[in-house]
Amino acid sequence: MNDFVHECEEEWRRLGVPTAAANEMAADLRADLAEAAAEGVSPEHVLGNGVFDPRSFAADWATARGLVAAQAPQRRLPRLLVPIGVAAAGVLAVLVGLALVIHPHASLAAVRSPRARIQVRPPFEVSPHVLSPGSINLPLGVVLIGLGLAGLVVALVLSKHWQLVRTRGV
Amino acid sequence: MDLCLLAVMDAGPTYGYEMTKRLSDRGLSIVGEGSIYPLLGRLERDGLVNTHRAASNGGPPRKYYSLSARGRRAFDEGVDEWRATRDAVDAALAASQGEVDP
Repeated sequence: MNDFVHECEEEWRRLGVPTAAANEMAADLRADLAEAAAEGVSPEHVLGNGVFDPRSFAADWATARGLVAAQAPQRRLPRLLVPIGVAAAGVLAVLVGLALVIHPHASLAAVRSPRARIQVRPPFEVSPHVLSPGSINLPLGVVLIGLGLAGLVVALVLSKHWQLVRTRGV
Repeated sequence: MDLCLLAVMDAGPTYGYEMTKRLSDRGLSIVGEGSIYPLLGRLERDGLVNTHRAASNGGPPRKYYSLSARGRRAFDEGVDEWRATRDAVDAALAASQGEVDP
């Protein structure tokens, strides 16, 4: 249980809880857990579900005491942004991949401005069969679709995981 | 749960783990639920409890919680509300059983 209290102390330090208050909470927690252990009582009986997530337990306790009121929301925001960002990247990858698969021979030349006059001549001869846009766009599109779908699955798993952690929080 | 904690403190000053034991003695286990520590923290922040440190029985000094004047008023009001709710639910259930029973 020392590990549990240590994790709580780390979290209080990270949240900027005043040292005196953090020391007081840690001392009370240690004494309570030691007394429970001496009586053969499990930590879960003392801490409830908090025993599985010391960081959330510590944050909830300090927030309830009004010691981290302004900082608590900042902790959840990045957790929400990660799955949203991964999902957005996944959708973008799938869309680009689909476009490449459906139109494998399309290239940037198709959208080039008709006013463009500058032409760059390659310094060596390039075989049209080797660097044909269609020859590389099709597999690239398939890879992008695969990566995009994988990203969507990862985003779903992350969001479910953090939803579960938040639900089990004290 | 707040009302239960206030009820335990109504019997006398107590510290965290002792409060858990007293709740268990009254048939309220927190296993599978949240811990009482954040609840105690909120009660303290809201001024419903007073705290002081004192030596426990042979152990290290503990933070003891007791009802403040405001906490006692909240406890009395909470008990009245709970009993009114319980009576209303009991009446509703009795009426429902009366309709079902021949």
